Amino acid sequence: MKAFNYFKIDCIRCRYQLIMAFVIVVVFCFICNSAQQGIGFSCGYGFFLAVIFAGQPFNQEAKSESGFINMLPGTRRQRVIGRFLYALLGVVFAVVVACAVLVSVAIRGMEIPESTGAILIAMTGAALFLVSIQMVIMYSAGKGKSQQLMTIIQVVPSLLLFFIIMMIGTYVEEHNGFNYAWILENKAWLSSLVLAIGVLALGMAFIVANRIVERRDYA
Amino acid sequence: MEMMLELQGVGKQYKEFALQDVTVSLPKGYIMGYIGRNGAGKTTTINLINRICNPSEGTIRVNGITYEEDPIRYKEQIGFIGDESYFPKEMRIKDIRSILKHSYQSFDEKEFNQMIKNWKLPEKQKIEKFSRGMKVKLMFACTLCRETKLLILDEATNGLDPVMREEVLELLQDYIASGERSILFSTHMLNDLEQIADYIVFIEDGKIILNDTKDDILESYVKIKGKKEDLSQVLRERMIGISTKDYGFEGLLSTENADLLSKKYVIEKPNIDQIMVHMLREKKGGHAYEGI
Repeated sequence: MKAFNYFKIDCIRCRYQLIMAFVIVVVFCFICNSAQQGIGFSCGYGFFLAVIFAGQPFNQEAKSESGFINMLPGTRRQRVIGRFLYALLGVVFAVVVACAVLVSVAIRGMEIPESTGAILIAMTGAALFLVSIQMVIMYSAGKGKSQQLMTIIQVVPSLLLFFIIMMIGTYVEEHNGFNYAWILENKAWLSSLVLAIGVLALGMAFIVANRIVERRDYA
Repeated sequence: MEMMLELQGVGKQYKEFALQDVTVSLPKGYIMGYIGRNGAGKTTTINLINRICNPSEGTIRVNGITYEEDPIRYKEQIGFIGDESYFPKEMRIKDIRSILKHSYQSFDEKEFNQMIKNWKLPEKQKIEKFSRGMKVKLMFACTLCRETKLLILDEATNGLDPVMREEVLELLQDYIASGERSILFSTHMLNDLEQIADYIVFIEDGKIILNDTKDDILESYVKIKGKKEDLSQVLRERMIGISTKDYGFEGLLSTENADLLSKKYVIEKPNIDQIMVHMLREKKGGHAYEGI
């Protein structure tokens, strides 16, 4: 319950950004989907935004707030849980919007590609992984850094995502013998593996964040 | 006497500053003035008590418990009012109310609302747009509308108008009236302290150099002025923070050395401010320092 209170504080602090993200994701997903961009493409941006917005509370907070936030009755672990809940909010939201897009596609009688479920699961895993990196970087940077620096740090994981996709694309182009069929055949466990890696990374990020907060002043 | 706050050998190491062996006890029902120059270690000590920073060594107990024993109860007992607003700048009073309501079991919403109304704090305005006085009032409202045992003020009365300062001092006296609560008051306004403090702790360069009851401190020293030619070698050696000018000298003398006094000198009762200035002057080898 105490952890939920810290989550609430982050939501209050970032309410305008949350509303903005909500509107952008919904509108973007449905526009892309209507434009026949493919479900994966449409929903990918939802996850991309989720990663960026996961670090928003770090960007908003100041060292001087420690006298209020850190003085609320709660443990440091609960504070970290609250922050992680906020970070997960975006991912959960992206999943919900993705499901809504699928429902809308189904209602319109359009065909949903067989691999869609696996793609969404893999995207969720990738988003969790990137959020984990985001959280570790943000906790390591600490409070009181300039907003410009925090903004740069905030987009690092999302940029990483783009670089990784580009690298994979280049690799696939250069290796014509790339076995798509094998991926499609094993899509269920491959996507589960990505999700498991994401969840594991999140757990590790939580442990690291806790250690940082335990040791650092004003954290 | 039951202690509300106990610091035992507390220290904190930074690259360019160290708080060393701070040992202080504040009994229940009393006010302690915590004074020192800028950068002496007052805020560091308070941050350690509040557990915003982690001590490098030593033990801190609030009402008998340490942070490690029960972090939630430890923090619930402390009310803190800082030298600057600590509220997130994006928030409004309704946000603060909602957070306090869900954080503290003892939060009295009616009392909070009453204080907000009495102090005419704007509900719909963002806190970042509040004046300094309004922010201080809001910090007081947040602290006084719940059950705390130890109130910590870090330069909270700085920059307040005289009416508000007087109001704050009255609030503080009401706060300890039951005899079950205590206040640690760090301030530059030594006049405020003289009005309300029972204990004075003086910190300089991260070390406690004076720790006693206010009355004992005031009775322990006299301020002496005299002509240069009347300043004997023995008196010069015993005086604290002596300053010599063309027309004469002035300094503090411990009342233990009262046998050195004579009618040649002008003897005055010093206030806390003067005692501190002379002590600092003594510590720094006779140079005057400002900004205690």
